[in-house]
Amino acid sequence: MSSKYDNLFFERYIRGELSQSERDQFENDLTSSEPLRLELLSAQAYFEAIHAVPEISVSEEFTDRVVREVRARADRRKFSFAGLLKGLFSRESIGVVISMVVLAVLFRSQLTSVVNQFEPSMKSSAPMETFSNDEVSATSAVQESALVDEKQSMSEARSNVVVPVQSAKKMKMDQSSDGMSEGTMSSPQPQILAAAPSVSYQESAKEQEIIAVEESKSIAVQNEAVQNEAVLGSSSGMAMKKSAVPKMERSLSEESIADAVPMEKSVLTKESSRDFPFVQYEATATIGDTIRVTLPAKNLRRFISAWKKSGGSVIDTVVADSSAIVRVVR
Amino acid sequence: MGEELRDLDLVERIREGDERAFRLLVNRWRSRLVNFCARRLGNPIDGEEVAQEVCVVLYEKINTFRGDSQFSTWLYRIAVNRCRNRYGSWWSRLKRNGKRVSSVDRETSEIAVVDRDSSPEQNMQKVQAGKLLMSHLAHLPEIFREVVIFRDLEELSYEEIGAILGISEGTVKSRISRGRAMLQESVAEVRNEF
Repeated sequence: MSSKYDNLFFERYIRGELSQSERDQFENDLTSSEPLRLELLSAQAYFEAIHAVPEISVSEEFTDRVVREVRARADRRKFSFAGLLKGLFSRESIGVVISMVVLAVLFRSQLTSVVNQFEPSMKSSAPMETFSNDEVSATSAVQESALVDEKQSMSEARSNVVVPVQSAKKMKMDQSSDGMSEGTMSSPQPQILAAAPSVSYQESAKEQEIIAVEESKSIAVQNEAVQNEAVLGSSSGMAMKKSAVPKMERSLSEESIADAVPMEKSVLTKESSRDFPFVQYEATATIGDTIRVTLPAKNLRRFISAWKKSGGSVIDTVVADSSAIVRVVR
Repeated sequence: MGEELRDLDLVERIREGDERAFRLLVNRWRSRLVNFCARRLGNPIDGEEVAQEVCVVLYEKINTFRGDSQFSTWLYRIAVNRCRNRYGSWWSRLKRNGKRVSSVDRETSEIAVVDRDSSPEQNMQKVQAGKLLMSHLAHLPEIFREVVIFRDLEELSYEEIGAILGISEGTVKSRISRGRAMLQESVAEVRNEF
């Protein structure tokens, strides 16, 4: 091949794409150079041959086959694993899954709330109110049960209420001159409350004739019991018991001392949830008693709400020390 | 739906799910695709199969065509890649070696362009030269084969060839020049035989 002209140049010459000056120059060189002429002939033969290359005709069914193949692949893709994965991870699917998860969480939360509702004590089956799981929950229940004689009045019952011997011995209680009692019980081991309720009740029953319509109030304190304080005071008589033995301090308030009568009994309530360990306090008092409840402000509001729903009345709420005085009603 | 519709118009209609537009586009391009693939692969049967695959891919990937390049460039690029992958794998080579003749009529690939001004002997010589050229083309290294087919058989511009293959125009010209030189030798042998 000539160094001056290559087959690209020959192609342009054959196709007539050269300018007039280029063409004249090339033809002048062509007349004087035999090798160049042979190269041009060779290129010309090549282009003739290349144009003689047979054209491949395409069958008429080509397009139909293509369309059939497209449809077949689309059908296969519908049932393929890749298609399944693609479907699973589509936006719509993810949205549905997230919605289901949210619904499941909400349902579980609702279910847990029901489960955690304050369970009635051994004698109680009154309506219950439960706070959320992560907060202290206080629940009260009022139950009436005629143990011996329905004829006995409430005042008689109050006069007959007696503090169990065992409890009285272990409770640090100062008797005031006018008969008020103040008990300060400090956890973690409130033995007076940890004793079996039935035993203490029986002991007290032996010493005193307890025939009364018994009103029991239950206050459930749930979750992080270490941080919670419950100060319960009873004007007539009450007992508190701690089931999970958390570090919790309780004390009878001074206000409760005013109307206090000796404690009647203490009842141990059980933990009502496996998932959320919390402590329940149950106080037993007669109708008309007032109880001071001291809880963290947030929980106190919930307690008051629950108390009202369960039929109790609230006499006063002291914001300063985050306590409330409630009255037991029927 | 007339022929006056441009490829891009058909592409838009295909995106909207128009099967007739797809059929029209395939009919418009099937001959060029089959010929390119057959020449590229050196086998009209495989060429038609690959061209069919290219059309299927065209349908499946139609949404990826952004219009940055010409539709022909995009389509030929698919064809080039399909042809390169045809015998790329061991399994493909095995299938190729063991493949039986399909129902595609081989005779259809042997229709030559006959020059009516030439004598029957000359026409026969051209036909034979063309067949031999194709056989030699099939043995040309791929990088030369592709550019020669695109330039001399498909008659694409250097710029377009470069866009399809992803190489510069200079590289295209260089490869064409070298590929032609190799083929001219084989053409000269054919001429000497006649």
